[in-house]
Amino acid sequence: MYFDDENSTNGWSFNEELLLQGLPVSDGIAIGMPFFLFEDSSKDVPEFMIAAAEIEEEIVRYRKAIYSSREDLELLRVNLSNEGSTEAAMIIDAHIEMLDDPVLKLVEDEIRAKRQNTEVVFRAAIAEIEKQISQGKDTYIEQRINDVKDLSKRILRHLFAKQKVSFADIPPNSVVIASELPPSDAAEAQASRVAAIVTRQGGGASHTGLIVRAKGIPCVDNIDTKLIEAKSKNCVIVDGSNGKVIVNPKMETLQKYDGLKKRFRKEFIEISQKVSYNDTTLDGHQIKLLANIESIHDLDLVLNYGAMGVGLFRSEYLFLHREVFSFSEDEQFAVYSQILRKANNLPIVIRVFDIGGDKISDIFFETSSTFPINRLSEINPALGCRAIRLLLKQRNVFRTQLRAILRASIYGDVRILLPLISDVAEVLEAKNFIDEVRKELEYEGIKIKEKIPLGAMIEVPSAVITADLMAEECDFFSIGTNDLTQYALAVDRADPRMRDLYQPAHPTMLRMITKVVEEAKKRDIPVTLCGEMASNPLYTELLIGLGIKELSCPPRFIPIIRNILNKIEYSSAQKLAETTLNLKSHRDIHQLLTKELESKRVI
Amino acid sequence: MKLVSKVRVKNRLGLHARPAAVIARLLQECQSDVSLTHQKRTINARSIMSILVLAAKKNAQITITVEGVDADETLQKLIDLFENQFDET
Repeated sequence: MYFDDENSTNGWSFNEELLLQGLPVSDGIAIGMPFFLFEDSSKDVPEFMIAAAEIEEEIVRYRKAIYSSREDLELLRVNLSNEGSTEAAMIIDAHIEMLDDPVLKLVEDEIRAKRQNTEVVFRAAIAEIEKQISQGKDTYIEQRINDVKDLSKRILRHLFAKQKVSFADIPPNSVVIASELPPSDAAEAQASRVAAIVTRQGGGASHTGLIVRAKGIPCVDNIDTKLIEAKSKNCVIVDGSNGKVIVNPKMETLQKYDGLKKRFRKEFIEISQKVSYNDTTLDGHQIKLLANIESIHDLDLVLNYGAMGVGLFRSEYLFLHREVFSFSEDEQFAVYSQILRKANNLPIVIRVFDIGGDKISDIFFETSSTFPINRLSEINPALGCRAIRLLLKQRNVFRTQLRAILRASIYGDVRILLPLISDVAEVLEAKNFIDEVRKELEYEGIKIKEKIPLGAMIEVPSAVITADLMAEECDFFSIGTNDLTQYALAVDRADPRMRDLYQPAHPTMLRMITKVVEEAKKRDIPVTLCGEMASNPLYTELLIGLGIKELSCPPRFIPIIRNILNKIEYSSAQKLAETTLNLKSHRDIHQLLTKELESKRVI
Repeated sequence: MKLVSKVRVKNRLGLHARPAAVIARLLQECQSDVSLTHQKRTINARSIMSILVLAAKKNAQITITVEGVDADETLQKLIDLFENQFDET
């Protein structure tokens, strides 16, 4: 999808600005010269027969190519480990192991049998494997094939002994344009040379996406790269956060992005060096900035950035990250009490296990002999037995976690958050169960904090609609905008084709947030907003205007959101919210918010 | 000695390159012949690419067949790998 500059009247106007919309893979803004990294013309593989006497020589040539590939990869692995990209290094490790693959050894026999040159035999062998892999019905198939393709290309490059275009040779500040980017190439990219990466089909979920995000290189996927090649006359702007690529930018566009880029960098330096924290708007309206954490390690950053507490501790990540291999009461107690003590009386909201759906942990299914679940039988896991639903059915898992939380409660300000509440009855049931567990512990003579606030995640439309009833039974609300968007708009956020429809600032969402805030206000209970909306500066002013007083986002976003807070006025935020609520489409809303944010950034 | 056992793929991404490499690496220290079967396809477990061919995703059933002098311990080590999700999530 692209839009031609409306001023262009003929086909080849020199400064025709071209905006290409793709999928955002890695955040950041870059302006650089395009560097086209297209495939070696691997279709022109030479094809010839080998004389019997030269067969062994041919095999040596093949082994040399494998040997050189290994040297490449080992060097790359060392570099990656030094950079601290362990995940990327592990992928490269797998590639190195693959060089020992018996399938590659079989190629030698084939060369002997067919007496054809290595390139032909090798490519046929790889093609066969790719064919077989693609017969499977796995969602991650692309990624599997890419690993094989990547490795085979590397070997072929050594066979051809053609001049290899390496990422190390790329001129500084290049925007690399490739039809696809194999993970090992991405791993070679240095942020100092590669300003950004634009691909035609890379897939944000692939290894490549993971590597570029780790390196902080802006990246956009799903772009018609041939169009850039055909049209590009000068520099290219890549806006990784919004998935935009601008070819032949006009002067004013260039100035705008250059400004954004510089300001972004300057701000980030300023912001992160700030010593005193002030979470108020220009007109003194106080906002609470909280952090989302997944483990105790995140807590250092939370304290460094002066967050007012943890708005969302995703307790299930402890097990998903396998920092702990089991989840006995004592082990959980150790984690919770450590976090509470370290937090030094700052509030810590523990969201009880949100498992099932896209966050699956088999540990839970195995430990329960009484409640076997065949996950494959769930046609629609997002609507299935997950989070509070699962916990209320698997009481032993819930009891263990609650016991650990209650025992740890004396070490700080702990609060319990129930995920995926869709009915007040679930809150009541959980509340009764917590009381039951409390009595159990007290009977055992264990000391527990008297009042432990209990809150509900508001992430299902039914919870929004019954917010008045919910507010009577909860001590606080936490709006999870990610799931709420997905459920309210009936859009799967994991489906790239639905990206356009997944809009957290949809008029529906704004009305829902308003409703929750109003109902909470009537009962005087606090509302935290903890979805991705909270960490996007685009929405900060709007959310404040809608009456949100607590934002919870990943630690690294805290300085960024605080900086926006310090630049806005509550009164104008309210006006903005009012105007926004009158807009009919998310497009208009988005446009207005972008304009607002840009005006805030002008120093 | 020939041993056969069924395991389930538990890591989220299934048998992709990394777990396949972990299996192949483990088998370098073992002497037995090891094959993996998934949906009527049987492959040599020492070949990463062949493991990729299985296209086994999360929850797939894999039959491990081990034959050789150290079959017992080899099988146990393999079962542990699957069980521990190849140390991934």
